Amino acid sequence: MTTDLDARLNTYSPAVLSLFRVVFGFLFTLFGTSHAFGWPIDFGIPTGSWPVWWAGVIELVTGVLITLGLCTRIAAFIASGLMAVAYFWQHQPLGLWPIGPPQMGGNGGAESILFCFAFFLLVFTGGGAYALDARLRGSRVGSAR
Amino acid sequence: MTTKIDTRLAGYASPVLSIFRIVFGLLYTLHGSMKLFGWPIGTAVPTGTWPFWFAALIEFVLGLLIVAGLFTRIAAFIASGEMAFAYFYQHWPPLKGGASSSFWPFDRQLGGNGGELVIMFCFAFLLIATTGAGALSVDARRRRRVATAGAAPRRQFRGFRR
Repeated sequence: MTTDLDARLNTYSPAVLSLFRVVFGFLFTLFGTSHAFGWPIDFGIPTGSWPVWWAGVIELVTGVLITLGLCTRIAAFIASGLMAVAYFWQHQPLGLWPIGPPQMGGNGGAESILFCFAFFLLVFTGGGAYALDARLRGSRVGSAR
Repeated sequence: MTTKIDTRLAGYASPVLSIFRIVFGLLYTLHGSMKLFGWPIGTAVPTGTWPFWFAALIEFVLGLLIVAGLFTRIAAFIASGEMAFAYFYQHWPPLKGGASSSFWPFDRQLGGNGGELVIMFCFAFLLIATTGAGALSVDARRRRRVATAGAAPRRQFRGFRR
């Protein structure tokens, strides 16, 4: 019985993977716009300042690509690397534990870690069932694999 | 050529899925232990307080199950539901009524509702509920033992392609 349920759940995984990709990509895009343009929340980063404004631009570009599922693996690889750099450069020096903000004694880097490993997974899985990559592949090969 | 790289990368999807699961599970467990025991940071919530102590208990227990990869799908499904509840109850609270907070899920100090982590855990665990635990997990070990005993090994996660 468990086996049947597991097999049924497996059939949903390409669709759920795409949902997961869209949510993470969209949140990442919003982090990018907040860093780079101060919208929807103003993070107070001056335009052109190194490194956070530039990080915001990379987040915005890779975030849009990941949300659409276009060049997913490459975009996710870059985003994952960016988050690893952000963690060790910006968060790790503030404290040992990633949970909680610096006021509580953490280093505030939990989001960086989660984004890093989520995008690392996308490098290996690709964009899932609902992605521009899947559509393009389908039209080129002549059938959706 | 791209297709070749895609195929090679896809071959590693299962162990990477396990690494992803362990990282998300560990951070989730720490969010539980920080409210339950005040470890590694913060102060413990008094035992039995609604809703935080119970939330912490769920996070701690399910987090350990997810890290180990034991009963992964059911644990991840419940964890995902708990995070959805936490988001609408604590962070963007139309369910609670009255309390006003920002629609945007960013840092509270910057004017968001502080729910970004909650959203990420919610959808990551929903994914894990449909994929299972991946290659490095107690579930996979148990399945191998059952499979050699003669049961059908259909449960195995075979990648994300249909």
